[in-house]
Amino acid sequence: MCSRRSRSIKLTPKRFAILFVLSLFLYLSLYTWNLKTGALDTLAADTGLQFVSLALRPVAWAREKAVSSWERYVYLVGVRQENEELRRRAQLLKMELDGRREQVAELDRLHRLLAFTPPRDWHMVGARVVAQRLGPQAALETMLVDRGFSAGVRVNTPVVTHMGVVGRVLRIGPSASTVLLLTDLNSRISVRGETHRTTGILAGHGPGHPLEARYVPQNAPLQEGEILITSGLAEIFPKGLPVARVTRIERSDISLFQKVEAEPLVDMSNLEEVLLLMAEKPAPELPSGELSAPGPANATAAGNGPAAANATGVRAPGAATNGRPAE
Amino acid sequence: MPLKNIAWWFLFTLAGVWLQHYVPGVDLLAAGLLLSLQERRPVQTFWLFTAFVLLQEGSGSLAFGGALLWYAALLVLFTLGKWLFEAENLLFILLIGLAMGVLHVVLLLELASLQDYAAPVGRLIAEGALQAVLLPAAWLVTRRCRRGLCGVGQQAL
Repeated sequence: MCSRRSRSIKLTPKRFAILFVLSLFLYLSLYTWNLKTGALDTLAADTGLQFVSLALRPVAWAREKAVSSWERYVYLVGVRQENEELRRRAQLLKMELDGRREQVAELDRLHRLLAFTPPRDWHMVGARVVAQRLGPQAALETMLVDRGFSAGVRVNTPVVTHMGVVGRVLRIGPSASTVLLLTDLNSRISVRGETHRTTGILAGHGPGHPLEARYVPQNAPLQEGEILITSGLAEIFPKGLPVARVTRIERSDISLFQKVEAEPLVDMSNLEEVLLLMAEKPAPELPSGELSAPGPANATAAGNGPAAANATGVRAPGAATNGRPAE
Repeated sequence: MPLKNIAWWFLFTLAGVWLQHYVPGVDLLAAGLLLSLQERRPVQTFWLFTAFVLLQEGSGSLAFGGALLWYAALLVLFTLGKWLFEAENLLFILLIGLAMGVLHVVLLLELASLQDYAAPVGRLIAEGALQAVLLPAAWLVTRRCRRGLCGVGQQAL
């Protein structure tokens, strides 16, 4: 064990105050520098995010095995009534079936994912969901997937399933990425109605709460049950991906816009595999100061004002912060 | 640090990350840092501090700086609290847990607003309450495990 070396330095109130001010100055300098360069975020993603991703993979494997063993036990109890020969055969078949059940279910999910045809000029990469929100700094609704920049993933890469849009990549590590879900309070996606082609900005309100389509004019045609698809205006999501279904429309006398509620087409809480959509050619570079970064705003347009309706990649505070700058 | 000590902290970190997977938004690694502070091992505390900051920042969703402030606050609270309490006093640890629970809410709301993000206040308060309860509990379990497996801190008993 380490030997104890206690060298006490007397911490007077004056020294403490000086130390506090110096620390605060140092911290603010570091924070500002990181917001500009994203260097510390990159370091954290390459080390911390990578470690967490590697540490959690055995947990996912163990959980899968535990569920499989439990199911096998339950099924074995059910075959007691059968005769010896049939029981043995049934047990064998059951065991084999149970062993394959998870694989078949997985295959089924993967088949459905593969049935998804990426838009022209986009290709897709499959990824497994490793974890949902993790740690005290996970303020946003996110999930962790096992693909990173080594697989070609970039910040703002769209994340989808065969059912619809899940969100977009917020931060990338070598072989893991953090995905911002479309249900997050900060998520904004430029959408249009599939039937009536009415445009709006789809905003998240947290898990369990309906999404809101903002800036839909009072006289714009839109009906309950209509599917909202990505408009492609932000050049982050390809055009035409299904995102949500309109559940409620309310017209007010005192507002210029309709109040439109919608539900996501994808159940975010039970996702196991997702698809990452990558553009064949990189998205056009945004003007200086408008890096396509994880700003909630982006994909999504930005901010809460009507300007957001432009739905172009908008400045994200700390543009280069949560991930690498777009390349 | 001897190999046994390094292995112990590595396993602690691994277990902490696994448990955090099941309790989203709560920091269970802070209990280890607290224990290290009580052991008065500056070098060990420095490495744990650095590792935990990188881990929490990496798995978080805000710009770098939150975990740094979070663990720095724990250090300051511990240093200040030692003037009034015994370092291993349970009441002291409970108070630190409470303070960290409040800090979780305040810190994340402030950092989120710095980045123009909206944060769900209700969820943060629930997580803060859980943090306040789980930090002392994690500290108790960690201390018992560390004393049982490594025999560290027996003298203090």
